[in-house]
Amino acid sequence: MWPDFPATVRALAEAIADRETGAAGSPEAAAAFVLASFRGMPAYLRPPLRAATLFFDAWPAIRRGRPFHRLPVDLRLRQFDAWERSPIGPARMLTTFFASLIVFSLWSNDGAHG
Amino acid sequence: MADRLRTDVAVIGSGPGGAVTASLCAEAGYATLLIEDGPDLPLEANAHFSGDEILSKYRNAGIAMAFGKPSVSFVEGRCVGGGSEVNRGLYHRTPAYVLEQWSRSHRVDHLTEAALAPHFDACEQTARISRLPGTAPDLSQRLGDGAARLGWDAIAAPRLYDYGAGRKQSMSETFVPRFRQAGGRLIADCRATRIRRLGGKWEVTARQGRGDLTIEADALFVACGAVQTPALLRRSGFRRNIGNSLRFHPMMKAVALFDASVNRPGDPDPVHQIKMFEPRFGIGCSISSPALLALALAGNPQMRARIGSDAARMGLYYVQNGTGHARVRNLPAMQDPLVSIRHEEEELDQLYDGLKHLMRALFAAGAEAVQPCIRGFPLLRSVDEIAALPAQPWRSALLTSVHVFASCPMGEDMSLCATDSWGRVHGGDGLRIADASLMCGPTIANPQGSVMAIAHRNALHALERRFA
Ligand SMILES: Cc1cc2nc3c(=O)[nH]c(=O)nc-3n(C[C@H](O)[C@H](O)[C@H](O)COP(=O)(O)OP(=O)(O)OC[C@H]3O[C@@H](n4cnc5c(N)ncnc54)[C@H](O)[C@@H]3O)c2cc1C
Repeated sequence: MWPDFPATVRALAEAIADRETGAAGSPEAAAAFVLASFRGMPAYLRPPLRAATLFFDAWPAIRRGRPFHRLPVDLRLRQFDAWERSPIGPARMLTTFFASLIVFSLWSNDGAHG
Repeated sequence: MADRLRTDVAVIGSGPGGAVTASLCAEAGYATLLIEDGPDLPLEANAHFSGDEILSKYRNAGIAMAFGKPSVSFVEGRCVGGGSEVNRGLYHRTPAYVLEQWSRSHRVDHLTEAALAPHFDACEQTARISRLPGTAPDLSQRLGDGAARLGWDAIAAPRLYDYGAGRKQSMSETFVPRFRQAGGRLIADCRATRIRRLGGKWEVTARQGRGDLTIEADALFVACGAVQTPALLRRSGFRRNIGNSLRFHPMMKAVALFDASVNRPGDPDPVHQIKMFEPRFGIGCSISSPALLALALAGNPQMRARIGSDAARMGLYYVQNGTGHARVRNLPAMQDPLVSIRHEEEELDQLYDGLKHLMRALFAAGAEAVQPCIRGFPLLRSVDEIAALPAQPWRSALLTSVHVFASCPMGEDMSLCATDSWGRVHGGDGLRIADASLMCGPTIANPQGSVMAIAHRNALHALERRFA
């Protein structure tokens, strides 16, 4: 099972949606928003972001025998939390990028507030 | 074979600078062509500050970065009307002390409050300014109350907004219709890629959809905004003081949890601002929808976890100043330029001090808890806890900005300025710039009014001289 960029984005959206109690947006819509944002972002940012995401996806393969996008949600969240708290700047930047776009989208479907 | 168009005047970019300039040229009787990289969409095409709006009306889907320590994440509009379509329209004229400072530092001629007043008046006739009728929403009022309890002054800022009709006075509602009325021609989804002087005319090469377009014009104004204008000019061989001095109004944010409901669906936009500490820092209120609260709190799970139950008691606030000096440089074969920024420690300290002032005001306004929006920073339960915050937040702070300017400053100081006092590129054979790039530094106040008034002043100057 190879690292897969869109599958990683979808797996991230599902995992973050799982911990985002009360947010009404769907993980599918959040993943679509992230992928659309990725397509629109400056071209020179896309290759490094894609490479970092694929590395993030491949990370658990040695220990657990499968990429991030094939892990159960609790293990995905554990890996995401660890990267969020990492002392390594690029690891934190990667999680900040995904967390920001995904929580924005997940909370966007709440029609109760303007 | 590229399509060819011929016109008297071409204006590249339809934001506040370009739209004002193009209107005046068309009304003076010149055949005027306004080209815009982004789509032509009505103001209400998307909900304001929604994901759809970001994807369709923002440049690069709202993802752009000035790389530095700390980096500044910034956004710009990319549609007919530019930033005026996506902004909140908070409005101020350029403060007199800012104009005085620019006149001195960059030797700009005739740039006083009195000289600029008729241009503000003229722009405000078309893009109307008004104050919120009645009382401000609680989220806004709370900032005013907190300031008052600390003995500080707060104001309720006017906006480019027609409260009667419930419509923002963006360019697509004001100057773009005026331009069309005067016979001007607008081409949307059309991106200028290069300009050059050829046989005494200007030639603009552009991409429109899948095809190429060549525009030949007697006079040319570049108004692509403070990042894209220097990118286009540098790509076209104009480099002198171009893209060396980009400035922002970088922001830090905090979320307050109040003792009562302050944030109701359908409330008007908050308008309170604390301006008495400017230019060290200025404070204001942000739109506080659950989505924008969640975005601001992306690195603060404890407060974010309360959005589901307590969004109505939450308000999002910002502090900003002019920290950072940035450069715009093209990368080989890339459409978007690279922006890098360096900060002076003193300006960063002032911004962080501003964040502490903001949090004091929020506690004074009755906040039960305040979360500084910095990854890993604690949720504060009392004003005393502010003193225990880390001395330096910059390892984990990411600054954000919605204001960009000053990448091609105007003035007669040839060592600093890209153009003369009227927006004519030094050594540019009559080429003009007409957008936020021309500012000589941060406007301190919300910038759109300054961009429009200076574009108006410079367009009249150009018309009086028949673009000489
Ligand atoms: C989210 C947000 C909130 C803001 N809030 C406020 C506020 O409350 N009050 C305030 O005063 N200001 C606010 N601003 C700032 C204000 O909108 C800007 O200062 C103003 O729009 C700058 O005008 P401009 O003409 O310089 O550039 P822009 O508005 O950026 O317009 C430039 C236009 O040129 C187009 N363009 C770029 N390159 C090309 C090319 N190569 N070919 C063709 N077209 C091109 C762009 O697509 C864009 O539409 C805000 C901005 C944003 C993004």
